[in-house]
Amino acid sequence: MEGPHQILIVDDEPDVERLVRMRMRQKIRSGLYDFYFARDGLEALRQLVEHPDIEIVISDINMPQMDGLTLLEQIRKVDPNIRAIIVSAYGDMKNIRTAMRRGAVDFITKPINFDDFEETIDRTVLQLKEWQVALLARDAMISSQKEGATAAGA
Amino acid sequence: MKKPYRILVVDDEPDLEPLILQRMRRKIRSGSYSFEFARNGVEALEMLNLHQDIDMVVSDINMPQMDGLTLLEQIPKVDPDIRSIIISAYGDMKNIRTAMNRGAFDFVTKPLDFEDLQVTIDRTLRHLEEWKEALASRDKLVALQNELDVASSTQQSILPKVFPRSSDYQVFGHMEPARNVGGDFFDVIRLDRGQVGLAIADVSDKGVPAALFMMSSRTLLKGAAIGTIDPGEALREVNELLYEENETMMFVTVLYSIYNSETGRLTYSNGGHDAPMLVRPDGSSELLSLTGGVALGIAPDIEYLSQTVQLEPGDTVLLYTDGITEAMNGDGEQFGVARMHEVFAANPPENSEQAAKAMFEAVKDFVGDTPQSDDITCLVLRRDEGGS
Repeated sequence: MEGPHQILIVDDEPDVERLVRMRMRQKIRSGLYDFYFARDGLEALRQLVEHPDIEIVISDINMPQMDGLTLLEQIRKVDPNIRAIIVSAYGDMKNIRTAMRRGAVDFITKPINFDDFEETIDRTVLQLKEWQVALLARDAMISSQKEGATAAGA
Repeated sequence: MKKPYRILVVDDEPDLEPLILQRMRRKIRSGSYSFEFARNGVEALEMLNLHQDIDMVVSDINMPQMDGLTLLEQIPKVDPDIRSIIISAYGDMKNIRTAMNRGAFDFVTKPLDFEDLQVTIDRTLRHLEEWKEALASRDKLVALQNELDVASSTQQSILPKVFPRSSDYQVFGHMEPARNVGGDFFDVIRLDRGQVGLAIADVSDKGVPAALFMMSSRTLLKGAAIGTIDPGEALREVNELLYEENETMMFVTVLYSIYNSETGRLTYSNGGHDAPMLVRPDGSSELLSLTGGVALGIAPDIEYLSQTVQLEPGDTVLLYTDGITEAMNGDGEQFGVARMHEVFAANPPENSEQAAKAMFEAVKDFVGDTPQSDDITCLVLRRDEGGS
């Protein structure tokens, strides 16, 4: 069986970890999701390097050291297959548009509506899985072509 | 040239059409985009069914008959690969969230910022392009796998499964196919007067074309073998026929031998193949000298010489392919001929089947977990102790 999907939450608000763990406890317990937490963009990047299995990053925008919009650009350099979701103030259209243009796949607004939070994660995981299947096929295709070339050259 | 991406714009506002055509005129003129327009969700679905090459939809939310949020739910039923962007009122968070959760790829707000619209369309199409490429590889992979399955079952189907056995001699052959690459085959041909033809071969290519080449090589060899008692003569004939019909530039290495069970004499001829190995009852072994012929199918008018060796009771001869000698372990070392000699040095072969299995076991132990990159084939003849 495949392991839990690894999700990194980046927010300088200390309450977020407790809230997320409580609201998502069923999906954590059933082995569906696994959460990591970081307090700012820099710590998030360190976590990404330490845990290369992280597939989804959900990040606040305003944080000390490195903000969420800068983090978005850095994530792409660490692993372009990571899906990023931005957390913005309600109705902050400017930052939401900037985030989407920098490659965020979606956004959620504060105060966090946990139904929307959960639905957004579920949908992102679903899309990610489809994408990973297609990528695996592409890699298998490339390696089988290489194998063919080696065999023909032998 | 690549054809333009087709974008369907859905809005009940009649002003939008001329505006988009005007603001996007450069992208339209350069052949990057082409636009279709619909006035509501129902019309949009009709268009999608009519024009099956539409790549993406840009839709308003509030429209008569069918609104944009309902349309979003319907689009994947027409084609799950279409990407949608929703146009919402500025700051209408509720509708934007609903749209995103119904699978919109992104959104833009009213009043339309055309620069943002263009960036958003470009980003969506780039994503779509990557997605379609990945899908295409997936489809291609399935097709390739099917083709390889056909090739592999063809290859398996031509191998003899029952081997001649008498009080004088025994034959056993086996092939371990590589996962994707295949080109080895062997054949055992019963001839007149207690003689049996033993062939082992390796086709230069893989896949369906190689499987077809293998089939014709095997058929031609069988035909030639029945018509002559000289292996060199058989190879010469097969080479001529293969060369005549060979437009694919493939070739096949063949070692063909005829064993006479009455005399114990083995006559063989080589077409670019590895030298047979003769193992004595005490476990000592040697490679039989080659006869100098080149692989079949490359050039016409080639002579293939034959050579004869006298087998004593208890002698075993192994015909094999380079899948054995070139089997590679994790350190990149090849199994090689020296290790082949070692296999029987301490444990002389008991019979033909046991000899083949001992060889396969030794190769397996040597390579460990390293994936097999070529077919491994071994055909063994043994003159029995009881033989006269």
